[in-house]
Amino acid sequence: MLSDQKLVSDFLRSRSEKAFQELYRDKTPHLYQMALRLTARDENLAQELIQTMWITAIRKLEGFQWKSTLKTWLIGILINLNREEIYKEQKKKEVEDISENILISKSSVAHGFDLESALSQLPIGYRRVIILHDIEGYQHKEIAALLGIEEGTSKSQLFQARKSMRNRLSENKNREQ
Amino acid sequence: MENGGLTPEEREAFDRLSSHKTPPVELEAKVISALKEEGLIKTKTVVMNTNLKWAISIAASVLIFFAGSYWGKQSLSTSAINPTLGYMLILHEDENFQPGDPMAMFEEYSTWMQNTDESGITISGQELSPEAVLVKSNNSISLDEEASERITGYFILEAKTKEEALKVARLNPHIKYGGTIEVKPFMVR
Repeated sequence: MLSDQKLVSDFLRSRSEKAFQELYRDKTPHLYQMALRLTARDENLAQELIQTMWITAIRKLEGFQWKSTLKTWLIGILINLNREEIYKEQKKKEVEDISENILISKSSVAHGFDLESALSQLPIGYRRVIILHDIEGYQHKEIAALLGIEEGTSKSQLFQARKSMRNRLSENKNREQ
Repeated sequence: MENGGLTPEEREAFDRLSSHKTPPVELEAKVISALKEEGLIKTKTVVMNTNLKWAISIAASVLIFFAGSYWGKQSLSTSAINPTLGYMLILHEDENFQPGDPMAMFEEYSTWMQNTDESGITISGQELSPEAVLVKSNNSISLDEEASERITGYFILEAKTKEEALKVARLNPHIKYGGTIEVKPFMVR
């Protein structure tokens, strides 16, 4: 398997479709799974998110300083684009309470009551933190940097996210019985 | 659980979550298409040009082969060289190289070779494949076949002087199509 540095330098040197494919195929499966979680498993939104993420990333790739891993950098772009999209949607719908933390995907109720669907029912702010911490394995310090929030906020959001998810799993279990 | 930490069962459940999901096949094409529209990756025409150039290359190679058979004794022989220098024309191409109609190019290269031969300068040569490997003492590196700057062919001239070799090089159609020719003297030993 080629290293990230090699994938990036090969692409920047040639700007060829072939070199991009190598980069894309190495990184996209993981990022696509994340995009699905961020969009409450909406495949169309996840695909749009991935497409926009690659356009943004390729524009900025030459200036990437390798202060983080390539994967973390791409995840950062993905999250920021997702936030911008949600913000635009909120503005468009003119919802009175536009706090991110109460936004729940409409599509989430359509899924089965497993961990993935419980995750997709979480408010997006909680969802991001729990994805980054409990699934991706990032530390609060890294999450704070990625999301542009305080480390303490990341910790409290994770606490609330887990609590909220347990409640949902419990509710779902009771409904099944 | 009260302190908010994950229980071992919950940790296990999270670990079981798939971290990879195969993206739809069509997504790759969509992303590439969007990048091309934005001008962020080279368009397919570059690849097509490469293929076209390669098709021309094959034609040129065939031409060279037949030219060699027809004109005979095209290979460089030490006895034919006096003084002991030969000249290699190395054909370089980059993004400025714009090939024309393959048949027209074939005719032009053919005429150029024939004119060179008739002027008393024996000529041979070959087109080079896009693939290349740099062999070093501790490793080997394959060069990018789609790189915009490449060496795509060579000719060997039995010219008597550098000026004569330069004159032949300047008349090569490669120049007209935006290519560059490196004229390199070599020793015949």
